[in-house]
Amino acid sequence: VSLPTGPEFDELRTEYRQGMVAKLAALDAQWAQAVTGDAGAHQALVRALHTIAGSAGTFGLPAIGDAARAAENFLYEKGAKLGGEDRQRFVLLLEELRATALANE
Amino acid sequence: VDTKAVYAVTNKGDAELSGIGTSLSADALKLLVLIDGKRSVKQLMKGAPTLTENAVKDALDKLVRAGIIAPASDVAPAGLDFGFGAADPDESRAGLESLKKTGYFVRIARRAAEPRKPDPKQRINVLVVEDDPQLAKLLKMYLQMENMVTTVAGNREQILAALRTPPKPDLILLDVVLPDVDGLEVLGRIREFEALKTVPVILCTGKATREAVLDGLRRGADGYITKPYNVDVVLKAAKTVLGLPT
Repeated sequence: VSLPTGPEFDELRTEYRQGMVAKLAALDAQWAQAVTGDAGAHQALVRALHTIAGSAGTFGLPAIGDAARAAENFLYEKGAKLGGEDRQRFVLLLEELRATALANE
Repeated sequence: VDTKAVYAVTNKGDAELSGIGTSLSADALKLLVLIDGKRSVKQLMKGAPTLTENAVKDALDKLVRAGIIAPASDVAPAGLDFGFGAADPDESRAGLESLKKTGYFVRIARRAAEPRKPDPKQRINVLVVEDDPQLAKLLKMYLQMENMVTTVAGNREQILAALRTPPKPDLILLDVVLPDVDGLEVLGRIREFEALKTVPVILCTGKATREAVLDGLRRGADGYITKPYNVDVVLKAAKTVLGLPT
């Protein structure tokens, strides 16, 4: 998967990379709600990860997409009620996503 | 044809699922998505209750004759084999797991029944349903380069507004996971309305399971492209379902 070449597409790619900072902040806020057992926040978190997983690769950032998909699949498989170990695992997955996204900055 | 036999997707079949531009019937396409090289057709049919036995036999016959599927014993595992089906005492459960397993990436677009001559004076209206604003912007930019007029909708209200505002779209690119509505539900409603039911719809989604692809095709999608995609692929699929030269 690759983005077409040209200045207008380069601009879009840059915009997408820069937008990751806000997306990560939104994920943190959703996780803070979801961890309390808020099913709506859990759904929103899964959806937000799904969106990143689906779009990052198209913008030439497949590692971000893969990290988001790993976190999405984990939440999808575990459901809304996470135990202590699962919470820790998800935090690590979120950190992996953050590190990957910021490394691409 | 033998519905008790196990069939596998050949390289030619793999190309049908990823090459954009299939001429297979809707039923044949559904069956092709279900075939996993592990379970018999009879077992697979449990996952597709809307397919009648006669439709399955007919589709199976066509797929075998076209070399798109072959008895599993004759086919080396293709790219769409996920290694499922290890001795499981409960075949129906194994079949269900196979349907739900992620990683089933496809690029399906059914050719339009009639080719359409490109006419620079005639604008093609495309409704892009996508809740990621940057991805929507990218699609819009790309489609505009092909002289297509795009409208973007990212939620239920915007979708309704776009469908109620003339001109009627010539094509809908439809994301499935949306904030306040399921794209498959939108597809179902589109297919119920006389004015919209023939409008080609391509599902563009991160839902990459056999179950999701099958569900989309069952509800009347003309194409199914899994994310992340290359925008060139979407454009080619759009032209394919519109009957334009690719």
